[in-house]
Amino acid sequence: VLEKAGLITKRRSGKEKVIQIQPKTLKVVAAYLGEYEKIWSARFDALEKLLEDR
Amino acid sequence: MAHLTVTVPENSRNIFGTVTINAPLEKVFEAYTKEELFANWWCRGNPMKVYHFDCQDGGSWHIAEQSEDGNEYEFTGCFHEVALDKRIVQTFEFLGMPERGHVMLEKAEFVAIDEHTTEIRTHSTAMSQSDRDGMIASGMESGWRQSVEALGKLLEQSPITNKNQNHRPRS
Repeated sequence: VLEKAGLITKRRSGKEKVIQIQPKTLKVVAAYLGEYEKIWSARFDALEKLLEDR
Repeated sequence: MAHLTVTVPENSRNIFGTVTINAPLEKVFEAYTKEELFANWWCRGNPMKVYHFDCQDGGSWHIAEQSEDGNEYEFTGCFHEVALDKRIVQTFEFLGMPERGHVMLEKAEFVAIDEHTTEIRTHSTAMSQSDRDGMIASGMESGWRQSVEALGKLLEQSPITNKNQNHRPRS
């Protein structure tokens, strides 16, 4: 699915299979799906809660 | 709920974030700079081990987050500038990478919107675009492979539309 969506490419390098994330396509979905954004949203929610409680 | 917007420009090593917190500026800044407060929120409820936290110009920090699956994720960095109630500039490195040397430079600016509201503007820049994209894709929870798996599942469930590409819909 990821390959079809252009998010990754696969190629062989000797015995190893190399899977590469395609940055350009990834950018499109990054804001939707990034763990990064999820983590930071949760982090700032925790920060706000901490300050509410104090 | 804190409202966060993350912007990830194309062909760039940058990540920009803006978040509005319902709390006074001084309190928000304190929560970034005091060890016991920082340890409370940064791991989002997960246990944090603080090896070192010296939040001042030239100081450094080294922490480990314990995730729900029992894994530990270590992070380290140096405080370049800690300007009271204004700005923190620091480095950030995830120690779970296969090799060292992938370091982010991060700036957080604190702006009082009113007495009870603070805006934090963050600017992170990676050493390469692939570092930046890896950061965005994987965060730290699971490495990019699991993220990509999750992403695949999500794509199977709901085809992504191309509307409003830069912002995740919010509830």
